Amino acid sequence: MPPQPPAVSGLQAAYAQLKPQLLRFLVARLRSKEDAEDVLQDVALKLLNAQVGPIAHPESYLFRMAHNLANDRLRGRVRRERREEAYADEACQGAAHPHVDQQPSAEAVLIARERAAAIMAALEDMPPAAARAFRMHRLEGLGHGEIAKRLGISKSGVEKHMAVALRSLVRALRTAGPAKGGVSDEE
Amino acid sequence: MKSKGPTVADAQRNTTESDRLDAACLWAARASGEDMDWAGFTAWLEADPRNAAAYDQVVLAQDRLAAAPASSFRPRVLRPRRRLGWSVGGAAAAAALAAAILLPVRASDPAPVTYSAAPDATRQVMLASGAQVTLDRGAQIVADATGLRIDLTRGAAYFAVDGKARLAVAAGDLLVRDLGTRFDVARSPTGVSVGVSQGRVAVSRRGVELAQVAAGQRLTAAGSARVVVSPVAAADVASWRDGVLRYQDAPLSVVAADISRYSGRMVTPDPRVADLRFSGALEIGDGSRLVERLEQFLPVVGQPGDAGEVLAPRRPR
Repeated sequence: MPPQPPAVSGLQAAYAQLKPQLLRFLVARLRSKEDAEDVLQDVALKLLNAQVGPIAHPESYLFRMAHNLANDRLRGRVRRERREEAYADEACQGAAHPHVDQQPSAEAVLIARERAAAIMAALEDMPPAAARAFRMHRLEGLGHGEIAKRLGISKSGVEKHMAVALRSLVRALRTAGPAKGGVSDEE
Repeated sequence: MKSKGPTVADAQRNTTESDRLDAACLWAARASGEDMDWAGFTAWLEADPRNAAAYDQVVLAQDRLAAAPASSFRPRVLRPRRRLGWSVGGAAAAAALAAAILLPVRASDPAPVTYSAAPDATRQVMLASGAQVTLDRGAQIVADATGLRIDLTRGAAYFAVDGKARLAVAAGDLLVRDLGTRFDVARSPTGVSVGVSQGRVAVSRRGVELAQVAAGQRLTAAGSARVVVSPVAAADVASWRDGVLRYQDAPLSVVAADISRYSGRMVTPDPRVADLRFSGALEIGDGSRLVERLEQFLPVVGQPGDAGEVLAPRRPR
């Protein structure tokens, strides 16, 4: 019934064809040829293991997959840096269990509270239309298309609002960063 | 090219740093929508290595936003200096306001924490228990202070537990107890499904164990009676994390239940096509075109039914 085999090879074919563009994107995104090749390998493995079937837009599917895996790689880098810092910290304090992130510490609670306050303030200070679009997205769970419909603007208008909102939130979270070096993901 | 004095260059560096973040935010906003220009994004990244660094910052900030409780995003209620006139639109906003009034907002509360994902993006959360949870688009969980008891109130979530923590996930009247594993739980208008990609879980209803589900199996519970355990490729469990719904030889009822989850209304197969099975992947997108995509692969057609949408057999042309 399902016309599977040709469609599967369709995505594989799309991958083979897009490989140079995907690699180019990943190199630019990760600023490391090695990491980029690793991530591309992950994409290939995922395609293989998952036996992905027919997909309507193989190009955007593959790029999105590469984009998400690259973000995971970035998170991995940050986690590693944090762990190393934590090891160094713990070593100084002579603690026996240098594992991080097991329990929310008093400090983590403080940081969370500070961030919540920064987010609230940023939403109040940004252009109301941007805050409104962002809240619709975040609190009411609406997609760009639905927000565009409700606000009577274009999808690219929504994108601009979201970008403005994101920009001031990025700025707010940067200044509300942790007092101590614990979460040094700002580089 | 004209040379510039150091102060001008400094000023320019600062402006461009800020411009870079502006651009990075715009690309990030586009990436969360449907029509992303990947070639344009690549070109922007290639134009200057600092662009990628700016994008890194935005991605990490987005993670922090994702991890922040919903209360941080609600308008504060009693703000006398707020200009009147910026309308907040609709019943949902009124509900959000009501919730903001009723719920005490204290980050240090040992009370349950609610995490919700936006409709068009998944969200990663780390619970106090150390469990990693990925929320599907539009999903919501409520976790207790220990991060061990979780109520899946909407949509689907994928749980990855390493180490000793043992989770208990409630979904409707089902309780899924984790026996050291990775699994997803999904709620849809048609019922609950539990897929296991690693290890084993025990599923019970009101204290009665119904089944143990092992890696490579999926349990589906429709309504209050039927519970079916069927095979599933471990790699296809929670495939929504990749933006697609992926199946190998899955009953149409399973596919329909997943689609219901995104379209928000009941999607059920007509009995005449109930035996159809589907192998392939459906791109989720904004969730509104899943039936349409399925129609490209199976001889079915979505039709309005008594309660939602029915997948009816397609007449040969």
